[in-house]
Amino acid sequence: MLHPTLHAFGTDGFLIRFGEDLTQDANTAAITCAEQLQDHCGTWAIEITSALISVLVRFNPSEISPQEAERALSQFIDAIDTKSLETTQGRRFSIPCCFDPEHAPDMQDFCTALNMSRSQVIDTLTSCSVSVLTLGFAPGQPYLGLLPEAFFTPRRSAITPQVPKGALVSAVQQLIIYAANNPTGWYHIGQTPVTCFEPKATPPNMFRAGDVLTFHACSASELKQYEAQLSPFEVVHGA
Amino acid sequence: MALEILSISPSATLQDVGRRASVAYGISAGGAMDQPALWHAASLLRDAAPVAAIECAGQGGTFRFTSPTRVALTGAEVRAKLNDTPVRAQSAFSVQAGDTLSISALTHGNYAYVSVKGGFAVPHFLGSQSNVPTLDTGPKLAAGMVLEYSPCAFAPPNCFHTGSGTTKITHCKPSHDPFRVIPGPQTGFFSQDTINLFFTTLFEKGNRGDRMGIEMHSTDTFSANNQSNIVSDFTQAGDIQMTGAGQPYVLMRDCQTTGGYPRIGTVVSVDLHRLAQLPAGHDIRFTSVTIDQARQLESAHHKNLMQLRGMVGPMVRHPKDIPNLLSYQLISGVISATDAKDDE
Repeated sequence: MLHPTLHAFGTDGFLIRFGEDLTQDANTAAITCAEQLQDHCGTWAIEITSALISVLVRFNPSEISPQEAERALSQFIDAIDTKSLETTQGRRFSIPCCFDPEHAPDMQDFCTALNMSRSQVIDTLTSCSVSVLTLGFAPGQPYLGLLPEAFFTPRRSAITPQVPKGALVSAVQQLIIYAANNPTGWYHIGQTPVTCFEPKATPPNMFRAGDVLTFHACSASELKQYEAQLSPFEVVHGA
Repeated sequence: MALEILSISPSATLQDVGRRASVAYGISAGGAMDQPALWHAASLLRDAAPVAAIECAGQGGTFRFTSPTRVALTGAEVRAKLNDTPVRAQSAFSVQAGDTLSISALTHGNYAYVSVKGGFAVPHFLGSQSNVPTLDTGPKLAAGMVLEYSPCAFAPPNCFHTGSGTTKITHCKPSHDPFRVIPGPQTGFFSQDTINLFFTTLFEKGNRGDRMGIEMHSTDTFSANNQSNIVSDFTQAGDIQMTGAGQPYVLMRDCQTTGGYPRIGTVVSVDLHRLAQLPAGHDIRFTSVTIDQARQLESAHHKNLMQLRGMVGPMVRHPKDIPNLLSYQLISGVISATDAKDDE
């Protein structure tokens, strides 16, 4: 089992890190650890959130001294039941995705990089489930994984200047649903109707770390209908 | 009851002290590049705490006021006029309906701040009025944009900051003081030799610098052990990341919340405004401090900011420093003309 380490992060924060490699276990441990800390820490912890393999805890220096915060966190780590870090309680979402060529400009390159056929790629993506490893890069943008090892391919050397909001991109055994029109170094292999971040909604982010997503293929006209008819938060359904 | 933007640079934003607990949404804290400038403005305007101001980046702008209020100009030294009267940075003055403030140039420093008393009536998002990059959560500052404020007819004399000690408003004047750096969770990814080299190298501030980060140059290159396999992890303003080219890039207020480049350490928060205001091409050295020392620096800095209000004095300049003295309307905005008439 992974042994977490405690690190200072700036003058008012600590990082609990699960190893130095990205594995599903390390990611699940980080997400679960963040959930447990929400219940464990007092109001002095003003921010608790997970990244791929670590948990950030910001403390309020007017409520607790750095030494006391460090002691509280290292006691928590020492007493942690590692079995309890092995599964997350994420919500489940089923996401429509259009893989038609006009919505998947990099699919051919992606298949070549993986040495797989287009139908093998789509079959795998629509039959496996991926979890939200973390949110980042843009507000509310989910990093999803891990895909089977056959999906390990480095980022592309060239940057695509812009992929649209909702784009499904892939590299390094992961998927991202783009939260906004932004550049990418990953392969653009599909298009979803999902709005990951809606500032007027509460909470503004559609997903949180630990949620589990599956994809099902839809046609270009169905994609258009989803985009036009449904408000962003009704496109997918939780279970 | 508004400030109307007549012209402004495309990189100008609205900024306060920043967001809290926003990292879970993938949003950085944001906030003014020169945070003390907001505290200076608050003390000049007699506001209880810093409020959102227009952050002019690199260039100035022109602003018209539709009702009386008090305005503070802080941060970078500027060439500016209220109508035809020169006004200076680190000062506050009264404006009347129809007055136009024009900042024609930033003469020292990269970020100048225009604040009005009580701040602007702009929606809050995650507890802050700061613009979020890539999100249209707040007003996108551009010509024609109108920012509402509450009118304020109280018109005390113009005032400016006397400052003292570490609160002296000199941080826009380039200095050779080293930037203090604390270790972070990835410092151990670098060899001791690389760390030693980093702290003895003379860097130059690069031309590429914005609210996301500032590049540094030197003839040496720096990399972590196993650099290309580092898992993306949390980043924060001040982090010194080593890019693929091996040059340091200091993350600033609008940096991404996570990143995959290794970070050798973090510039202490009390030095970040100085880095932001430093001109491109200027020398930069880094020096190592402990996290406890950084905490002491922060609390001393905060104490100084809390005392700023006692360091505001009336605007008095020696006539010899005012070359165009005779062109001044010396009473404009200083006393209320109608009140004085009524008294007579």
